[in-house]
Amino acid sequence: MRPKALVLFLVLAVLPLVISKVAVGFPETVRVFSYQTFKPVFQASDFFSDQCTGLFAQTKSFLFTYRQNKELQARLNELEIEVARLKEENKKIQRLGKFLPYLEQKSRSSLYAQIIFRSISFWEQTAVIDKGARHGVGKGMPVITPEGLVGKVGSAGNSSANVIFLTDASSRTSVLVQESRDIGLLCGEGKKLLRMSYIDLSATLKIGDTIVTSGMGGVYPKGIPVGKVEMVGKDPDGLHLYAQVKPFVAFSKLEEVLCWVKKPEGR
Amino acid sequence: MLGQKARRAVILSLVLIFFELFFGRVLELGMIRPDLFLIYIVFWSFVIDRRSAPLVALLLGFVRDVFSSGFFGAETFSYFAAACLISMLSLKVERTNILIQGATSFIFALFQFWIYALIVLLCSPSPEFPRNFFWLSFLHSLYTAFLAVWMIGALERCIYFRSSRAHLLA
Repeated sequence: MRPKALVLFLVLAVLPLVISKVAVGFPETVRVFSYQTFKPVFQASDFFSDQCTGLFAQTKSFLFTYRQNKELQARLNELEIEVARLKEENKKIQRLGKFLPYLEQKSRSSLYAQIIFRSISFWEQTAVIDKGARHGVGKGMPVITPEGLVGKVGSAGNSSANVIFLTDASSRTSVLVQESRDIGLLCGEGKKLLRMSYIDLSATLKIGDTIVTSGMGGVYPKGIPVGKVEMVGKDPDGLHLYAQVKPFVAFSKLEEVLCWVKKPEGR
Repeated sequence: MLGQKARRAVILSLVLIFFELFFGRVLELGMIRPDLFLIYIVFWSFVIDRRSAPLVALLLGFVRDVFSSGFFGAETFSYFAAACLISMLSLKVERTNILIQGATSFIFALFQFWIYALIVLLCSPSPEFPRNFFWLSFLHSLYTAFLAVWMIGALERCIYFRSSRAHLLA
């Protein structure tokens, strides 16, 4: 750059500074005039900039919301699983609460067991529990629920046992009618209802009477509720009456049971 | 009559002035805003004509002075002084290296910012600066330099319609 040009440029660069010092109002006049001239363009640019900034902010907000939504969805799934688990726990606690009176009995000790397998055979009404000989479970032990009698232990392995339900065709139980004290033999038929046979012809049982264990036979203690009389009739041989009994226990919904072990004398 | 290159340069300058004045807010990051005029002066000095860069700086500085509310004349002088520095620097550095272009833009921006502050401090009756002035000037220069690295190449393509920089080496 030639010195003359440099001096000229320098003068031009300093000139506005001098003007603003000497003529104080002049720069403002120039600025006001410029702003007035370009006012529509400034307004349009402000609008455009606001739109751009707004769009950016909205996009940012949308991305944040999207990310937050995903996180909350994942958290919701976790909580739904947790709620289902807690509901299950709650139901379990409610069910187990009914077992407490039996567990606190002094004459017998009760062993809590869960049903881990149910026979899929049409002919058998049995189930496998998660307690066996190792836990003190033995053949012939009564198996009950708070609702009533379930059946007895058919066989016991080391850590599991097979329970024969009252409804099984091989099940035989000595029972009596709680109200009239009539005795009979309760047999499973592989159906929902049980058949009480060998009832004396003079028996006064009626529909709705409660059937409990009689304590005879040495397997079941006396007085365990079994079911209610649904129907009374005469046997085909004409020598006895029979009754259809609906068990108190809903065998299809069984989840937990108690194995009732008699405590040794003196303990 | 203007040559094709000069005509494109003038059009580009007008577009840049228009964008910087009216749509510069779009590039704002918080309080930091890049100075497109500075980038253009570096580009002019490195790519188009080193000797006329102070004149371009003078014009752009004046435009900024007219459309700002700061001390009148401070922008013009600071741009001019910084452009003189760039003009001298461009003789001694490798102008095609984008890192050098970025570094030069950074120094240029910082220098112009501080000269402006100095003028305001000396001439203005009631100078006021933000509390974190030095930090802001650093961020402003850094943002301008980052943008310059990308923009100078783009501007060059606009002027020459090709990506080659053979004209600089010729």
